[in-house]
Amino acid sequence: MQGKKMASEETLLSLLKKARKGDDDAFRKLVEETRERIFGAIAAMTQREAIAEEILQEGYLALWDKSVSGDVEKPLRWLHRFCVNKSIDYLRRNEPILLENFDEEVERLPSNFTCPEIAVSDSERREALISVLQKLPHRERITLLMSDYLGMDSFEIASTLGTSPSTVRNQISSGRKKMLNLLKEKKID
Amino acid sequence: MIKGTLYVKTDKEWNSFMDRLEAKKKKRITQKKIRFVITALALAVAAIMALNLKTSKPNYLFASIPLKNSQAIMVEEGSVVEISENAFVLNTGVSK
Repeated sequence: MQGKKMASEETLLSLLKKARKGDDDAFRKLVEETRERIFGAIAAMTQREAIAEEILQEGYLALWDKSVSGDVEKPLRWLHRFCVNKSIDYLRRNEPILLENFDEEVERLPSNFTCPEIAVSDSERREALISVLQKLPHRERITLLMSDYLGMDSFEIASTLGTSPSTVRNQISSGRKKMLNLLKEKKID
Repeated sequence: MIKGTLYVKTDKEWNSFMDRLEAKKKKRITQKKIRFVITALALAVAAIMALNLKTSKPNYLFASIPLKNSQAIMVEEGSVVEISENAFVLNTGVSK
């Protein structure tokens, strides 16, 4: 089962502007267009679905409230950053030992290392992928989800996490390699 | 790239999520309205206090009328003012 295609930033911005003027339907549509993928990423990062729901709701309310988020040009990008930061805050508060320093060096991989597309087509593959992601160290899981699930580029991830793009690229490569090995062990390609 | 949905929620679960989100949004709107009213009231009180401070209090002239031969004075409205002292102090209503 493929997730539905997410609306463009322009469409989301138009919905956000209407929502801020009191259009409840626009707010609902904005949430419906974006919630699934962001929720998946936060739930995988925090490994707590209830916490992911709370963070996502907080994100939508902050996005809608101009006094909190200000003039947002790219609502989806803003939501990604907000929710990822909240997830990291949650992990730092609750599992500080497991959340290593993001600047820590990881195994360097060749720059041409590529990762095959992983399709979550059924519940069996979904469960396998979630369990594999949960086995990754926090920093690699977070950067991998930001990159390969939310589609953020390394500069954007680096800016959100307060680290360098090269560190992010290394963490993504290392995370991908570990993920693929774990998937192979589960005989999932 | 990971294609597809990692966590799948049923429509019922998403409806519950949306209901809670709407409730939080309404609560936030109410909080904003209350904050707006409190701020408006505080500003109004501050403005009134500032105006009061600026308005100078009138400083009226008083007339002291010595009383020698009468024990009471009839005033225009018809009420009687009992006199215990030998002077009647009258506010003229005229500012200095």
